[in-house]
Amino acid sequence: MIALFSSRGPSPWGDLKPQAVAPGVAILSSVPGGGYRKASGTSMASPQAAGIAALMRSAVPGLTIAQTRYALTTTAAHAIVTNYPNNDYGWGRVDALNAVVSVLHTGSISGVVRRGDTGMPIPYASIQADARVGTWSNAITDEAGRYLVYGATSLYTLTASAFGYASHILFAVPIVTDTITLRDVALAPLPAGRVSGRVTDASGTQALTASLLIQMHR
Amino acid sequence: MTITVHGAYSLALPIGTHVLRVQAGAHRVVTAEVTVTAGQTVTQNFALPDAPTILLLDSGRWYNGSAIHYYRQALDDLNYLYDEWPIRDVTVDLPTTATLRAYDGVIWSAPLDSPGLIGRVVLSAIF
Repeated sequence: MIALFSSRGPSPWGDLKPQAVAPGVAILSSVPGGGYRKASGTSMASPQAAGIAALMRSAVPGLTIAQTRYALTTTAAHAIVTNYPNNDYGWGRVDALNAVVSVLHTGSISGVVRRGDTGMPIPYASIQADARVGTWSNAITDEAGRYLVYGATSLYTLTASAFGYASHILFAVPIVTDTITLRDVALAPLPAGRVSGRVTDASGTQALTASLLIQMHR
Repeated sequence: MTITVHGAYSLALPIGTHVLRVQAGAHRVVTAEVTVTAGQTVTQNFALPDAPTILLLDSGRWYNGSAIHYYRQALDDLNYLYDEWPIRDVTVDLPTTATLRAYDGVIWSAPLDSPGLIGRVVLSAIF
């Protein structure tokens, strides 16, 4: 939501202002003398926009000012209101990931991870995409079982795994510039067994109330 | 995944090898590796040795000089449970003696000060 103290457009010459917005109310920042404090204003918001510009230029050296401005505004997130651009939010709230992805012309793989038997989506499944050239990218599925991994143009080996399911590997999944490759994955539930026992003190006689954590699985 | 156990437990788990970690207040942590096979029940009992209750105080936090990870690592390696009390702001985060007395032992990490330094007089001289 736009701050009450934020300046609004248009400019005296009728230009759209601001061009974009960044968070600037109660932003935690480091302060002189060692420590952190919350502060508000353009001193908090503009470093985020500048940081995203720097991130884009380190990803793509030689990116021009016009290209940087174009990427910042075209990838900005549209929230709260629907009439973009406008003189409160400009083209929207700057978005670091989308801005960098747009200048790198990254592609992605996306899809839904489901149970092989019932077809229900599996949330919190992990997806790893390994490129033949040695780079990798990973993601965790959301509540609807959906995942999205970004990567440079290459062929990827996609591994989907989730607790209680047999892992599944898809070979030679392509990532193509500015394109989403769709790959749904079905995971077969593993058969189950039981573990049971008692939790006691050292003598083995006094039962204890304890928390039991299933820490690792392989 | 964490569950609360009252004395006895029975869990359905997918086949494979799992590491189970059991912890209870005033006891040392015990871990065990169990291998689950389809349709079978494995028995795994946990006997937890007694341990002191420990409070880990991090006084390094208020001047961004925390060295608490050394203590965490040592206590974790020895399977001791502990509570943590970070002093982020010396004006509000100081523990009372009642808080400290509730524990069998208090480890006060103070890399660049000392527990005795955290008093009103010394602080007013610093700020």
